[in-house]
Amino acid sequence: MAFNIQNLACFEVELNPNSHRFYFKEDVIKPDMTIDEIFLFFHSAEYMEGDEYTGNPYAQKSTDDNSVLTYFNAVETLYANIADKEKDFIVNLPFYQMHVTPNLNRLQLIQNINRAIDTAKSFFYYNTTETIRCLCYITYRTSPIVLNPVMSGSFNIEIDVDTTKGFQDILLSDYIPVGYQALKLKKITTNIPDKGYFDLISDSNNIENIPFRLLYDKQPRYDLYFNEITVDYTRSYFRYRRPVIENDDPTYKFKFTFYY
Amino acid sequence: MNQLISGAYGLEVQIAPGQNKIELPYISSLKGKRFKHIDIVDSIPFGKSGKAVAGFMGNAEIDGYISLREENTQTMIFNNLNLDELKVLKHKGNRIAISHKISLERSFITLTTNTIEEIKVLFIVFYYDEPTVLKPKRNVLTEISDFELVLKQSRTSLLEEPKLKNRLIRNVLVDILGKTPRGNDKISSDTLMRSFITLQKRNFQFFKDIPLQLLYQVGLSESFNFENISFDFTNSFVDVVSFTNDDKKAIFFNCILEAQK
Repeated sequence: MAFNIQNLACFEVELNPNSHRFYFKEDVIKPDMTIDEIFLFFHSAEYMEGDEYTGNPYAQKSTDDNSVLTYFNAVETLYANIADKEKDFIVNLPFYQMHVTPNLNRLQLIQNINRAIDTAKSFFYYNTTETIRCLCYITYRTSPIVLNPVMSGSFNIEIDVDTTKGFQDILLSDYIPVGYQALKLKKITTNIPDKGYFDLISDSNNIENIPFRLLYDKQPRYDLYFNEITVDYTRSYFRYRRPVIENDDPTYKFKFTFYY
Repeated sequence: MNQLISGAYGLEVQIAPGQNKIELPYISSLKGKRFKHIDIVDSIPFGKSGKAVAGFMGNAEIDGYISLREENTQTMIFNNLNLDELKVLKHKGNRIAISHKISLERSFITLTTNTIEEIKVLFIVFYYDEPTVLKPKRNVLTEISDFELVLKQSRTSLLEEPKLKNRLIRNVLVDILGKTPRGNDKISSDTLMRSFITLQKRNFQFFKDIPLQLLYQVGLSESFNFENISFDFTNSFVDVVSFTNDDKKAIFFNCILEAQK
């Protein structure tokens, strides 16, 4: 079963041995958002050779302390407790039911939350022996979802990235003509599963730091569609986040197909 | 795609070396039930009797087909369906939808390969639709709650859970390893694979002898889709085959529930 994203909020999470809870950020989740899904994105030890790091979109340089996401093996416990205004409606849900690996190892149960959440009463309870850094994603909608998987057309872009420059934020309007701005996007696919994120912004939609991994996988259950979103490419970025500089072949050629 | 189910029955059938046909037994409690899915459980090492499961973890010692006869028309609706289609490790939660009443005693398994050297078992789970269970309302919000059970002996009854009493359950999930929110060590994968759960409402068994491992649904293509089931906790239990002191840990459950107003 494919899933359909209208908006995607993201924030960085640091789990450390001296703390046992983290809360949703109030400036990320607002009371008028109807939340559909919540999931966590870690680095995975199961990555293919050459993908030994997962860069952090919130780090500006590959030398920053927070430049990479970490694997979750030091996390001993991690439970989600989510409340709406009336009560806790998710109690002690283990994070194994929620985390995303390269195979998108995620259960449907975290979908269909279908309500606003109370950030003050919602939190993750955890124990970890090391500091762990991951991303927390929240899919939400502010208007009814339109379900129309039929594509009207597509366009391609190619972006050559000079890896010797380290982390880069590449403005998409440098590659996408202004005329494409009015197209309502239903899907983006990529030829490279890692090494970057898209930050897609417009007045009506907000897809924040979506990892290329979610655009690359094409498993039937997790095939990802955008809910006919508009994107202002003059404010939207490809965030290249490969913490390692490639000496042999310093240029990556990213190919993307945008479907509308 | 997984269908709504309201009951499941775990059945162990023996296979002798060289045997090439297994007649399925008559099971009175399945008479008249609409079957929704069938699992050949090749992900557990032992059946409820403690006998080894043939074909465990994809072992090629057995191979064959299942033929299922429809109860009312007595037609063979599934004729030589490859057993692989029903194997848990193959379908990864994406079960074939059946939705027919099946005459089990007139259905059978044909083994085209049988190289076992001692008596083993095939563990089969039949999922069905129990007419007395109310179908879930559409577009109703869900909640997720939890409970845990510390195993004490080979059969441990569930404890009363006031917060879940008479709640309508859409799915039950099991988690292993690490610690529960109450600080108990969770069971290992080994214990999980030797455990069977029975969920009852009064004397009515919604889930009978179901491998607990099937409720560990992480990473599956699809998770279970229960009709609104409620059960009596103190009348339900978990059996562990070949129980040892190492098994004395907690099973951590999450329940997906229809939301209460």
